[in-house]
Amino acid sequence: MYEKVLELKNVSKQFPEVLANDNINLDIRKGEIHAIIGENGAGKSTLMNILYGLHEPTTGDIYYNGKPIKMTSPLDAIKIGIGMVHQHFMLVPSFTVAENIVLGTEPTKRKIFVDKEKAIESTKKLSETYGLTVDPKLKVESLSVGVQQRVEILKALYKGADVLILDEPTAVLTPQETDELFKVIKRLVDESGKTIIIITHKLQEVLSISDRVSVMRQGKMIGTLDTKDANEKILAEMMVGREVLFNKIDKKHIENRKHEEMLKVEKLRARDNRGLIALRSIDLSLKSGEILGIAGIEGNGQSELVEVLTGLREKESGQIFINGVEISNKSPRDIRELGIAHVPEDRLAMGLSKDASISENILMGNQHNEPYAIKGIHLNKSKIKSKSRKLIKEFDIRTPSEDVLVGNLSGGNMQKVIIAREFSFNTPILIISQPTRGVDIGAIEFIHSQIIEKRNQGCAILLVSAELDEIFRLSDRIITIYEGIITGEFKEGEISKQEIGLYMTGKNIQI
Amino acid sequence: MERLTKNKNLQYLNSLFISIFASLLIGALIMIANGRSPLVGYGALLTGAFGSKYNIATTFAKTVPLVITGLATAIAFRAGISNVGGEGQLYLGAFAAAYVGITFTGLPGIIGIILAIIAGALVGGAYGFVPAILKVKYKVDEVITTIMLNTVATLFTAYLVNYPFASSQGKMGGTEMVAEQFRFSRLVKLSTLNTSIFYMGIIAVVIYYLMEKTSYGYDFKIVGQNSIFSRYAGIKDKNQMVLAMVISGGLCGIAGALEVLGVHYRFLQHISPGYAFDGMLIALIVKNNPIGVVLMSIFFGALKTGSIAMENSIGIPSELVSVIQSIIILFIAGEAGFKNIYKNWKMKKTANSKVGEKIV
Amino acid sequence: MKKKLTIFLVLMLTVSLALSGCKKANDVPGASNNSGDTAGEGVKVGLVLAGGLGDRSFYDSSHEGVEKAKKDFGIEYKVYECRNDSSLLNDQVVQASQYGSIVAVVGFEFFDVVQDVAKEFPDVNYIYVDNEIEGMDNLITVSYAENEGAFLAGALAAMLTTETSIEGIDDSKLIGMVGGMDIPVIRNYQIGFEAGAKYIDSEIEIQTTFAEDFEDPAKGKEHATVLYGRGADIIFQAAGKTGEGVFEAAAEHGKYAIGVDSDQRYINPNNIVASMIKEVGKSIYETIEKIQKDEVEKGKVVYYGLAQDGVGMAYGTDDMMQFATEDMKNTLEDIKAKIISGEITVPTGK
Repeated sequence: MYEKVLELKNVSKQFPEVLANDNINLDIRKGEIHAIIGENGAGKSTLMNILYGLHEPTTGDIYYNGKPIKMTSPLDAIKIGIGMVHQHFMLVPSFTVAENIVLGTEPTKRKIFVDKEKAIESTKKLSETYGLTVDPKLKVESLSVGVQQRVEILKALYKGADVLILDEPTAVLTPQETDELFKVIKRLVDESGKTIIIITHKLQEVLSISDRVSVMRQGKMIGTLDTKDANEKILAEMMVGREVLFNKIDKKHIENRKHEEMLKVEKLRARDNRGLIALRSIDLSLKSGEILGIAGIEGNGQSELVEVLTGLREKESGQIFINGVEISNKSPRDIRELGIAHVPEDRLAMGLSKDASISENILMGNQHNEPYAIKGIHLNKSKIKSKSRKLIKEFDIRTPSEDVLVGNLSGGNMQKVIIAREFSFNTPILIISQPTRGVDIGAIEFIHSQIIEKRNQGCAILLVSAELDEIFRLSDRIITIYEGIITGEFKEGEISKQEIGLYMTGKNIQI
Repeated sequence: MERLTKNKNLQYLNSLFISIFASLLIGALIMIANGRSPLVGYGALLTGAFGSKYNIATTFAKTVPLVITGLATAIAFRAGISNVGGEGQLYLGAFAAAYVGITFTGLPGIIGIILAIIAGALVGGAYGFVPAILKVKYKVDEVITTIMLNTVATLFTAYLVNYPFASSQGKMGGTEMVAEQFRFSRLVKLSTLNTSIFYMGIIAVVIYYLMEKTSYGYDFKIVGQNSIFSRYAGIKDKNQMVLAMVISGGLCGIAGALEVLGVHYRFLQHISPGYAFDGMLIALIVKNNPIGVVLMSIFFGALKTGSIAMENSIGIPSELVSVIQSIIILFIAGEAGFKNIYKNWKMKKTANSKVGEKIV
Repeated sequence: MKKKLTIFLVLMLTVSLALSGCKKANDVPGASNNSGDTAGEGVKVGLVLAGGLGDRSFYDSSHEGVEKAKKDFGIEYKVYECRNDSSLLNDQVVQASQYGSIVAVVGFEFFDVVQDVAKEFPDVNYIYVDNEIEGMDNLITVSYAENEGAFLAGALAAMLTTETSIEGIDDSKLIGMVGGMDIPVIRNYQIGFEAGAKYIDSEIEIQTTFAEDFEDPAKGKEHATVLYGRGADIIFQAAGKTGEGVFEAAAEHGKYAIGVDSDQRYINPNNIVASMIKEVGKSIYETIEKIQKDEVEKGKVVYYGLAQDGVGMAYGTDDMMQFATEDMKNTLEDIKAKIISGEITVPTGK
């Protein structure tokens, strides 16, 4: 008989529009690593927020070590012994590691001054106890993402957490950092007897680290299995509710097609929003009929590169040629007319208007063109409607009608609206950023196959993604970017995921 | 899922009617608290607004400037730029029209009228252009600049009509009257309702068409909803904002011109009692819907005319109507909040009974 | 939800029907035809104001006039306020014309409106205060020599500003004036005030500012504070309700003010030394009387100056501390006599 540390009985959570958690039953055993997986919107985050006291369940009970508990805020959860590491860290960048860890429960001198010595002392002790090495005196802003995460974990442990919830912990990490993290997690369980709940949507990680795994779908708990009995296929089917085909993308090379250079970048240099250099000197070349993947940890200049290429950001120096035409100081509109379509990384901020309908979003870019606008002025409702319907069908956008406001669609369907629109311009060049971020597995499959289809038609595609899997699955060629310079270039199959991590972190550089 | 489609509008209409009804109810309570019968009060209000041909005409006379300034605000708001300077644009537009009317007195009526209206539109539009350029070029907040420019315009025109353009007749703070042939004829005896209501109708149709049926209206709307998206997709968002502001200012200028040509036949120092501000409130209440602007303007016009009649006939102060209008605006502004309270309450009820059933 | 909505709409419909049903029960003014019968009791007078009651000045004074007429002649009256809303000017005059056989219209803003409406109601007699229009049989305009009254106020201010025995007054020769707006009527006050002050002492300096508002005491206070700050001891206000701000500023700074249009000393007898009165109420009262006796000269302008006691000075009631000495009052009486006799010509801004 296992000892149940946490138990949920018939827990439901009703939000105004949705029943986010529907009658959830779950038990967490002491000392296990329990993974909770599910597509976006399956209700994982709601469930974790209930466990951390951020939401109160509408109905149902929670037991901790057999006793019923009621939590109205994270403070209650911390008191009970539940800690959480959020996907987005909640650290004060200008504070030191020690100050961040003791924040909220600072040791004081004469009840007024923060006792920094003591804070450093306890941080040291803590990191030795759990084998999580950090320098307590460093400022958080100077730390890498992986180390920051470690500080978050220490913070939770400092507050006495026995059960630790990790929300998408690997989303921002390199493969090396992920390995590090998993070692830490294993050690916490084996040596200190902590219980870990890990929320993720990456199946391989689940299989490699967890003891048991629970699958959620559409707010319901589909089931819990021992990880040793699971494999990717089983889990994916439980998540999606139907059979999912893996890695069966047909990437036949079309050799008879001429690979012409469509996009050329020379010595490109640009700054980010804060005025810091984001791109030092970028050279690249993109040919028709190929997918060029840009691998890199987010924030190393990918966003700025895409923005400069699409006319949304001014460059400082260097040159960009589209089909031989230099595009300096050209507006986004001119660049689109020269033949670039763009799927942006942040669909809500840039790719859509969520207050407009699907057909209005699809119309974008054609609103002054025949036949959608008669004489470029009068909008032709029926033409717009028929085009929207055609794309909704072609791109499998799940919606009752083309008049639904885009804000009411799921992330995957929003993404399909953007992809449908941008792909339908039939431009020779496509720049695609994070095409499947926050998109569920079924839609990922579909989007990937559409991208391949475009490539097979001879489109030159620049793909930026934080998901290494995606880069590897789709790219014909991969370049790595680190702090605004290109650190390596590889043909498909020339490099492994592990090895590429070294280029993404600047540890290796091809010269 | 079906209900997500269009009935956001329906939901909004619901809450609008509830807001109006609730505010009328509160108005009734205030009357009761003062020992007056709300039936008698509202009866007088209704009769005052619609009780006779004269009353109806008076109501519609009040509606004309509200519709135009309301549409002006709506079009700017749609494009994501706030024109709080309608009053100033109206004053300058009115003065420009009056200037044409007292200077080119030899022109035939129709040409003079068109010229005066165009002058009003140009001057109002130019006065909207300034804050718009300041906003898109130098990020100067347009709310503040337009408010300040209101004061500049009213004081500047006050100077003009008291010194260089002061009327020779009487002491009145106005220009000379515009030439006879430029004056719009009155439609109903004693009322100031005049043919400017036809111009208003044309303007309303044109603006409705522009906002709802054309590529330009689409561009405005998208820029207002998400300017980054519009820029990404190749719309020159800054140009659109400036254009919307110029149209908005031009409309306010026309509203002023129509007041001159149709009501006062001259520019007066206090030609507008804040039409542009009322128009702005109207646009806010109806969420920039052009048809809504027209209907709500009639409602506001009726409230104003009716409230004066109510005050004159039974002594209930017309300020009561300001209270009612404020409460409507309060309700609309708090719409989201009230909705949430209601939903939470409803949710609790349904959650208790429906848990375990299908997800919505 | 749908059900609730339906019930709701039905309810609204019922209420609105009930409302329209009861309109006959109300005595709504208007439609009744005015006979033009101007004699005897029960004559109705409509008083239309461009602003609103409660200014303790111009409009209140006209209200007192009709109130007195009610007492003395037994008339009935009703007040129609436009509250400075230009869109109501026409409506309110029309409504008043439908109510009364005499309509008194107060405010320069009515210049066009009163002529338009008077044409439509030939049987109604209009008294239009504060403007000059000739040639309409049913329109009598009343014009005041504000400049003559202000001349006296200026003279008084000039005498007081060096009266260092009064607390808060120094020997500087600066006095001030806050006008409501830079318009001809107010300039008429200004010109008289300045001329009166210079008449007493040609070295007096007069600073005048315009608040650009007749209804906003805050602006009045602002303007007065600036003038007191520059060293003015006494400020003459000609700004309607805005002028109350001048009085507040006087009290705060321990300085002095001269009121306008009606005897305003009662508002603050310690800081308001006197008032220049413009007998709007008196002129309306007298004109109503004349109309009833059919003594009025049709289509003429009636002038109210010092000679007609239409303007003048008021010093409050006897229980108030008097700042103006008997000597000063005598000097002012002298000046008044000289103006009436034509010995002094007061410049005019009209």
